[in-house]
Amino acid sequence: MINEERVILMTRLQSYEDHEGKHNVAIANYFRSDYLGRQILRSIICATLVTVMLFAGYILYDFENFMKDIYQVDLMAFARHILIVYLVFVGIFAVITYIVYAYRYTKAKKSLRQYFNRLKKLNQMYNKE
Amino acid sequence: MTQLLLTKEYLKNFIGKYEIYLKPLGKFLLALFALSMINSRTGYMSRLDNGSIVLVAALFCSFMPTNFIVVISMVFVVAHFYALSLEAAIVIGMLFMVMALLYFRFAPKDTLVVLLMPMLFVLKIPYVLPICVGLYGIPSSAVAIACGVVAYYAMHYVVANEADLSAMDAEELSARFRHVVDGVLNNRTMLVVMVTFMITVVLVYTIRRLSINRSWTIAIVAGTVVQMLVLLMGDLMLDTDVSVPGILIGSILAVLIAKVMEFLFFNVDYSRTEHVQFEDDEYYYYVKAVPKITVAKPEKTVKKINSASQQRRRREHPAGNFNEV
Repeated sequence: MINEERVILMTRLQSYEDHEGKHNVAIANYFRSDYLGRQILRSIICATLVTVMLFAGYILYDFENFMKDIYQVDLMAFARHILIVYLVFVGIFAVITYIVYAYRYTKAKKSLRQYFNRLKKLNQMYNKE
Repeated sequence: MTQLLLTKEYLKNFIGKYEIYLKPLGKFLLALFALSMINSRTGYMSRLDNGSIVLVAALFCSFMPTNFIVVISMVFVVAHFYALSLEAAIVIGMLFMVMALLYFRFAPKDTLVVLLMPMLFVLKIPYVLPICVGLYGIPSSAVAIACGVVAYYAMHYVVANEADLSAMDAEELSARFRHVVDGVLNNRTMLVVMVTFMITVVLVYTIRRLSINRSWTIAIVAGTVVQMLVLLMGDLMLDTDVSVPGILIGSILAVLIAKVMEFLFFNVDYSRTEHVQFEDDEYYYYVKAVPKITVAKPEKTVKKINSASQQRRRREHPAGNFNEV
């Protein structure tokens, strides 16, 4: 005879595995430090690309003056200034990434813990029969 | 009211039953609508401004992830602007890339807002999106709304200045680039609308989450009123060119659409609210439970009036069986 409670539980578990669970399992496959390190690395790459694009835009915006002044400005000081701006930007972006993904990792782990508890409950139902 | 609830139940059942077909159909229609709108508003590249290309792209979008519609729409926009002016394409392309790399990397689910916002601006009802996002989203979705507003006004600037941009062929690339960047960034209307919509999202979200009766309705009305007031104040202070009748009509439409959404997704009966209190080893729980309004779908029973007699006749017939007329 069909155990209605068990079918409901199994349906919920399958639904979780197909939707939210798929994403959470992918997160939980990593150690916390590896997961955060990977996300921060990706953020640094994104921030670097954005900086390069914005720098190119900045040069293009004032191209005549930039070319006119290029031999008069202290190139080392200019490069240092750009580097500091880049590092600050990347630093802020990395901190935001750390906060967001640390929260997501904790949430995914918690959600998976609930999922495993339900799996245990299902197993107990089978053992009872 | 009961009829409306019944319709809602039928709708839910219908969507549940045919979800596998309705999802690709929805994506196809959204892509078709978005790409046709882009072509009709811009349409500078004649090769892309073609019904069959739009149809093929929309069909392709129907079995791809939803965010692909946004990507293909961005490609269409940049390609059209490239045909008009290289600098416009660079600026708009850079803008899209910055949005994708800085924000949508964190919240890929919000990407659709960037597509919907310009579409609703064209349909003259942009005021509905901040309210809906506040009702169904999270406060950080306000950034997605801001990206949508920037995307619309940037594209709007290029389209509005197409004559200037195409006439600047003789000038330096740098001067043309500067012209587009200045035009896009020094737009006070964009700034006012962006700030207003962000405030609306956060306000609607905050009120909607309060444990008060009719929180959704209060959030919708308060969000709409604040949105109107901030837009009008911004218009007075910064002399932006927003249309006052447009704001009023758009806001009324926004309330109506948000109320329909509320009926579909948050229909509860406050008169049957229950307050319960209990405890376990670690916590005391003060729970407020508000029941959803539901109606049972009427069961259709098919009664076969002459089935018994027909079976008897079938048994008694010498041939054992006969064709029914």
